[in-house]
Amino acid sequence: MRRLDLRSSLFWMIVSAITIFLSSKFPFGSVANPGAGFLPLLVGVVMFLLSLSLFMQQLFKEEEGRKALWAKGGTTRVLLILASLLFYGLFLEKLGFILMTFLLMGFLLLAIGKVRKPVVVLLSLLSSLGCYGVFQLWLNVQLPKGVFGF
Amino acid sequence: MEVLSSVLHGFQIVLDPANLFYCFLGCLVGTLVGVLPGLGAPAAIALLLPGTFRMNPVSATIMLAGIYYGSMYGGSTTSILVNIPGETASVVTCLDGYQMARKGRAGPALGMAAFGSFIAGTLGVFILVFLSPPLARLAIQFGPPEYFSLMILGLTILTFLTRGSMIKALIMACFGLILGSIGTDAISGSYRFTFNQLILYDGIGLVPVTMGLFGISEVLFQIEEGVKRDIFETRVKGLLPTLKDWMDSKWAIIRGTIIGFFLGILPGGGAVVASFASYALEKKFSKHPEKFGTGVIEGVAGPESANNAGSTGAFIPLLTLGLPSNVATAVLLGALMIYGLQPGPLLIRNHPDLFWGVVASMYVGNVMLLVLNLPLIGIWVKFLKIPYAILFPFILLFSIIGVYSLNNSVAEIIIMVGFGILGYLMKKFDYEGAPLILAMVLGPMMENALRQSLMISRGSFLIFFSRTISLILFGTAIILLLLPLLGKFRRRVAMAES
Repeated sequence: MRRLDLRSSLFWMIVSAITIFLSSKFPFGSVANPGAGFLPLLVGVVMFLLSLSLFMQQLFKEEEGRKALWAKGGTTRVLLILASLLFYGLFLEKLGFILMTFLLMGFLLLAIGKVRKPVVVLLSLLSSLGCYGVFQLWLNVQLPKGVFGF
Repeated sequence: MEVLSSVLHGFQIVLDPANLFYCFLGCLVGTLVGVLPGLGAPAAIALLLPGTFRMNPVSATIMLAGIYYGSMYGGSTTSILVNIPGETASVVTCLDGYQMARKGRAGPALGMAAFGSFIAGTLGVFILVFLSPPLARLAIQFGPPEYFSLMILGLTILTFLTRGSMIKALIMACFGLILGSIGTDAISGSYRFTFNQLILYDGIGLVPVTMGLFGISEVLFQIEEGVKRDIFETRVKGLLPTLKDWMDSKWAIIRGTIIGFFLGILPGGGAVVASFASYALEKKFSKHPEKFGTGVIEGVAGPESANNAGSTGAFIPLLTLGLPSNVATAVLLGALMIYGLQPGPLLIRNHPDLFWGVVASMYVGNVMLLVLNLPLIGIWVKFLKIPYAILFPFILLFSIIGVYSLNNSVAEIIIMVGFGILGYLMKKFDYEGAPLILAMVLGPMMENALRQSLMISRGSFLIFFSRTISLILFGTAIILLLLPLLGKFRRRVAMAES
């Protein structure tokens, strides 16, 4: 855990340093009349000190048994899911809800879930058309139509 | 007498067919998300929130509240049958519940969990009815310093009670406060951390952040680990506990209800802490503490009663002070604000329909949940048998639709995915999401209270210590923050002496 805590505390130190830098651009005001930058700056400083103290705590500690951060084979599945979600987000408005949902569900069920192909097609169709029916037609949620008009 | 007529008015509201339907729907969805590991009440409330925008706020709140306390009922099913808690508040139920199932007593364990939950939930609502009005009257006396101190205490309790490192929890709380400050500053009107992005002018939405941290991250984590569930294959029969079971459990239920309710009221407390506290208490009171963990029914009855009473108690700070005590009530607070309601001391007076309607719906909801949880247990078990490979794409899809429909914005999806990655990494690096969400919700209120207090006192921080209520709240927070340091100091002294 020591190694992980050292890395994460460094990360939070960077985040808090960026916060302090950005907050310093807002008016600080005075203690009697605090401005927009007062609290963010204060919180940024406290966060930096906390991260620093976590870092210092771990620096002088001994590693108590290393644990693997990523499960074997699992990381690829995680990355594939993230990539498919980002792809979905980026092309949703261009290609429309029904098509994109069909593709997303198909990909997730087939590539990650390893579900049989006929079931994949059935579930992808049902989910994309079913959700369109429930959300767009029944609940009046405006789902993107895309270039194909659906 | 006034309370009684208000409760009757509440029943008139909830017995309206539409409200009854939404109460039932909330309880049903709540039980379902409780049963299914990986999708908790906060994510489910956030998911359904956009669908409620066109609803009457009273009906919508009745439904969302039903999801919250309903999930406490459902969580026990998974703990007992699969040894995987459906909800964090049901973690401790695994210890004895699963052992009972292994001994062929899954039925009485599930039955006692449902009955205990019902009794605690109903008693909890009873206390809520009588405690809320005087508390709301007291809360009217709260000024900015008291509010600020109370929020500081809430965040401190939450970080104090986290299972891991307190420093990490405090870092998360700070990060939540920073996220909460994104958008337009309420006092000066200037933009902060918006980077000229229109989507950030109103701040980062609570729904995408909650869905990302609690929904998406859980899916990523479970997919990486490759979840295998061994559902107990014996038939669940004989759900009614025996007379001996009742005799063994009666005090556990009563103690669980009381401790659960009052821990639920505490900002930062809630159902999770209540269930653990109840288990520890039962072990202490038991004549056979060594048998705990081997399948004793008190180990199920106590924590299950406590987590339900705790979830009811959490409504007190939410409805009377406008302060959430856990993530689920934080999302509920967000929902109430979106409906144009301001939870706080004036809610009972200004919106009696909402307050008493929701309270009465909790009585009705508890009855519905008992009905849902006992005869329909077989159906919930079948839900558990749906392979995760089929379930997870649907969780992701519903999350996307829920987040997109908030503002019809793809950027919200990207934000959700971003926080999904952050939540996934936080699990890896052992950081908890609850302080982050609570601080993010409390952040803007805290900042206003702090700035107003300092303006009133002309820059003197002593204002937080010169008013009695504020002094008590702030003082408790400081003591809680110093306790771990004191413990360390004592250990060092003891080591040096030895």
